[in-house]
Amino acid sequence: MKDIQLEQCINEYGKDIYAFCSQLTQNKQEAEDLYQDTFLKAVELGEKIDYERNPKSYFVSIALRIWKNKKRKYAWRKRIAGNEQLTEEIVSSEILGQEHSLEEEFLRQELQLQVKEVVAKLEDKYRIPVYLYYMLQLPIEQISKIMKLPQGTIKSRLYKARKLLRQELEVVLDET
Amino acid sequence: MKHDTDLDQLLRQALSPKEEPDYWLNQKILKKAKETEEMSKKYHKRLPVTALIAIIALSAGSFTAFAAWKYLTPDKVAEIVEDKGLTAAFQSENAIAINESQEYGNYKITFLGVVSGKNLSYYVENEEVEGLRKDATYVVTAIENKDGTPRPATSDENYGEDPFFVSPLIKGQDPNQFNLVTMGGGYTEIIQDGVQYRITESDNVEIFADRTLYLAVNSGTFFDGDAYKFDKTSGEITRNESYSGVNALFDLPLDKSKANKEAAEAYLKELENGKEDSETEEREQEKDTSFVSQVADQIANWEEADLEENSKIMENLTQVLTPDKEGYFTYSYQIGEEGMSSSATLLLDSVFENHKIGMSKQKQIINNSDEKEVYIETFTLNEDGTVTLKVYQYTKKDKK
Repeated sequence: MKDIQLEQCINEYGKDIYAFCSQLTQNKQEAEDLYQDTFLKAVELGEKIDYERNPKSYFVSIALRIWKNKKRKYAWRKRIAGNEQLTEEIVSSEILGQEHSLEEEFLRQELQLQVKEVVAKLEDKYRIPVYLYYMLQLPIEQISKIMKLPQGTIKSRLYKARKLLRQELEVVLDET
Repeated sequence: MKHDTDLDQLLRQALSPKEEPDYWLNQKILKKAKETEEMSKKYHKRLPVTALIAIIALSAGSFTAFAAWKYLTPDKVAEIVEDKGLTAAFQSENAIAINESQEYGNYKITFLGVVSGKNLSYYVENEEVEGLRKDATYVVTAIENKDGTPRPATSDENYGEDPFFVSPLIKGQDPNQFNLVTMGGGYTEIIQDGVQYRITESDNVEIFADRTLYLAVNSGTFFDGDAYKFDKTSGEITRNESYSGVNALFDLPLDKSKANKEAAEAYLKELENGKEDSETEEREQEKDTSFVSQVADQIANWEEADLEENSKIMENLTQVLTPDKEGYFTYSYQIGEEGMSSSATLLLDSVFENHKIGMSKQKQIINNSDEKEVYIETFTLNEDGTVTLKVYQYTKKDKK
């Protein structure tokens, strides 16, 4: 990947990849490191970006691979440095540009935070497909390639994830 | 089932990407990338994919002999790609030095060497998912143009225009099913003095050492079934003499003492069944979701015409939606008075890649409690920026 391509990819996929890194690490500093490492790794690997074949999932694969390798290091840092929550930033950015009443807006954000927290607590094997499917809206086929697992396994993990989330969010779902 | 659609909707909304990378962070990446490029790493590394093959190494390769060759030695190739572990492995007694060439068309393919073992590659420990690929086989090959022209450098535009697929093959196993891809291999490649060197990595195939093993190099990105012949009776794999591209076939030498019939059987079974931990629990869950999954697989590439032909459009549910200034569009509908309802808020960017006009490849499946019926939602981006939602009813066809 050349410089021009890199800039183009950052513009096109940066937001999605950053969001994925944020949710994966649940920590701003680590998210930024992972995001940066992902694009630099892509440059290092030097593969031509094939726009026909969903470059987003290519970057996601790299991010996931790096994260898995560094997970231990991240876990260690987390204990030392504590967790800089992303929530505040998200809340403030969400308020902009929406035309709901303040109360509705507050409740909506509360609900979304709650959902995020519940998802974040899932085991990685369920959490990661949930992010790929719901957050990045990638098709099962690509998730299967990214996670190097058969499509059936991805589907059953999503199924199990939904089951677990439904249990956790039962009260909320009853209210909606 | 209302809970399912509510949950799906909640998840999409709550998880839709909202955080944005800082402008300066992006600038930092661009700057670093530029610096890296200037330092010009001259090798091209392909990510190893999970894999497996067999090979072995018996006699200590005489590495002094390599010095007389015109090619780089396998350890030197590993050194250039900065894989210290593999460099050492190719210098060890377990490495087998080979120097055999075959020529087809304008290409000369040389099989340089092979080594197998646990945790040999530096990259295995540092880049791969824990627990994977600790036991691998590495083959080094050189490809050059017979007319003396250099192979294109990895930085050249025409690099990769005439690709090759290098794979170990196992006697007795259909190469269409058992090759580097299915055994999940990968490779690293460099161009040095106009010669294309490749380190091909796969799972360790030493367990098959009591059979004949081959190393195939064919034209193309994947295994080409036309390039070789497989005799189902004898299990022999041979070159297809009438094939017009490159279809080199070498013997892959292995240490017969490393053969392990039980492990080999288990490995083949694992490949046949798919690699993942197919826990019973998951299988049961798969059954539950099988119909929806089948539909999802089936319709993934369907265009509008396929949908019209194979399902029934719910015309009263067609809606034209106007995205808000943030790019979100929201819809909801109910099927029949007491029927299932669906609602969602989706982001244009997520549904329409590059805001391409027309029907998005992304579709949503809404499943009813009815195991034989699902609803498929499609989204079409119109010229005026609005989005048309269409809902199709798809009913499982009973096998005749």
